[in-house]
Amino acid sequence: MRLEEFWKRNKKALVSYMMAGYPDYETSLSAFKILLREGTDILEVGFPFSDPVADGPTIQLAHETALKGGIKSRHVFEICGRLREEFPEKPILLMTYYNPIFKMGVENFCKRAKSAGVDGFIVPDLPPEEGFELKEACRSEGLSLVFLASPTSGERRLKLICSHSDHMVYFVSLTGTTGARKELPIQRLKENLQLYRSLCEKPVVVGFGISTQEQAKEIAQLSDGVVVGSHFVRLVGEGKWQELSESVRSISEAIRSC
Amino acid sequence: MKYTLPDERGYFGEFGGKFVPETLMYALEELEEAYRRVKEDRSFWEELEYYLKNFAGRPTPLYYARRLTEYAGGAKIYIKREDLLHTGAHKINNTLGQALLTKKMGKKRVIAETGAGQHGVATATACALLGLECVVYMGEEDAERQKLNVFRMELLGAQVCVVKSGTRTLKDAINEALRDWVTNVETTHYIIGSVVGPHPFPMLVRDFQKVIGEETKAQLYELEGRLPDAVVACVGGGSNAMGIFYPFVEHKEVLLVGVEAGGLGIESGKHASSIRGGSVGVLHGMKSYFLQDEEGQILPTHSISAGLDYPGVGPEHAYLFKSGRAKYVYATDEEALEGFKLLSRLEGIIPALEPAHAVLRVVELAKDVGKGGIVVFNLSGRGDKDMWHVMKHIQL
Repeated sequence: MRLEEFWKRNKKALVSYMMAGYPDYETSLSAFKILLREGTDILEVGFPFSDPVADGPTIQLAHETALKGGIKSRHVFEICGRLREEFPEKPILLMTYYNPIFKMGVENFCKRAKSAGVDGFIVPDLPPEEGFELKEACRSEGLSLVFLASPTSGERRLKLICSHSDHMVYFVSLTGTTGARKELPIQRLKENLQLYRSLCEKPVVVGFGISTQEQAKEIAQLSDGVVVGSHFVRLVGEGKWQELSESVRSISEAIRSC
Repeated sequence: MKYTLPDERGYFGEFGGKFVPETLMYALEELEEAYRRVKEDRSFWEELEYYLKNFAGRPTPLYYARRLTEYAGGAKIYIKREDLLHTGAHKINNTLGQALLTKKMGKKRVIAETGAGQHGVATATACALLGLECVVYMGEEDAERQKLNVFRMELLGAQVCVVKSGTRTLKDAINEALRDWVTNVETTHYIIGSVVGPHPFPMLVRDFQKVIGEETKAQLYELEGRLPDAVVACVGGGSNAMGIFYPFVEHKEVLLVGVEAGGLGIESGKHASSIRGGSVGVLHGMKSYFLQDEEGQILPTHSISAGLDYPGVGPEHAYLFKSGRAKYVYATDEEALEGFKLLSRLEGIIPALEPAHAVLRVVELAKDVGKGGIVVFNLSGRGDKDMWHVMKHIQL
């Protein structure tokens, strides 16, 4: 219930994404800790998968590297468990494609996630229409299932997503895959979020393409939170720790000042 | 009982569905709607029929393979000659249909994935014919194996994007095509080449390929006055098999046999038999059988034929297997090469490596069915594209 609690007490969120096991187990654990210490409000833990169709080159490389390094589901859950001990209050969401969940069995997967201190899931290849089984299993473990909305979701789909998504909705900023962009389609996004607000009262965080303080600030004015992924993943991959800390801090401040 | 699958949610029993990023959901709904409309539109089907006949070369013959029949010493073997179609394989049936549908939807850009290059060439051809922009994704390893087809696609005006991620084969070409689609979905139609992917693709591709089975049924009725005892086809994603199986599904007395690519043998782990060697999973928008490890990570595949080198299979095949309506077997690389030689020498027909997988299984089945019986073999493509590759493997 940490996610629900968070939104009761807060207006804006920095949602940070990092791949578990990238570039290796220990390094990713350190990276997650930096993200949480420097101002991340909600953490997304990436679960490596062989075929990440919604991801651009930066996060694709992270998936591939983690798998090559031998990262298995038990390592991902272990990382979540260790983060949970050190950060008892922060909402942690697993971001994973559906097949690893399906293959393990939705109930089994939910049980293991729950006991690792995970609060819920974001599954980029699972629309609400296909989410019934996982939703059921999440409910019985008290986990949240956050669905994604996109610029191509019309009124009917936005209502559907809103009604099924737990405690918040993840709005994809553009048509495309994950990865830092110089320019974001702000005008269209404004219209998208206006429509969303007229249909849904749940908090909405916006992700895909966001990497700078300026972008974060602009997006935070339109939404309830900003997701930064590829940018942090790239810094970790390049071993730029100082820059990572500063980047998390400055983006977090930019969001809070809105 | 009437066979009416998929259901409204796009499921064949427990298989199928729409497991895609939200951005694509509207495009799938739009495609479903467009297809619903053209289904009732006589002019669409007349136009498609015109091109199938005058451009692609339909109907294809149903040929009595006398010498192969004698060699097998059992049932009569008939070969459905999809290898005689323009561009050399059955793929053109689907690409003409989907390219016309693209025009109906008012989209001007087409993307496609390709393994052996046959679907890529067929898509590039349909796009040239209808004046559509065409981009084809192809794994680096496949582009190497099928250089000639890369050149053909470029000659036809398509842009070929070589995919260097993952296993650099068909699976990764599909991943990259999906990434392009998610980015350009509002202007672009994705012509999937097999009965795979999210609903409505498995249904759509099957419907454009079922002409193979419908013709076969009518031709055999004219030649023999009856249904066949068995129908055999190779299965990668499964479009040529679904095309010839579909009109026979309701005729329970007709045995349907799909032949998967057994690579170096199932036990070696180096193969592409998703049904015989895989388990149920979710990838590329569908729930079906996949080659995967116990953690749900998709495994690399191996097949001598690029067109069958895919770790999944269409959901309708998964259903036909699970329900027991169709039977799935496999043939190894070595058996495919043997079939390749056998058909060349006995019938003067050089098959593509994909249907070459089915040749030995056809011979065995003809023996099992016995004299007085009829076995139909769908020869989905011709072997020209495979010459360089096969030369490395066989000595004459």
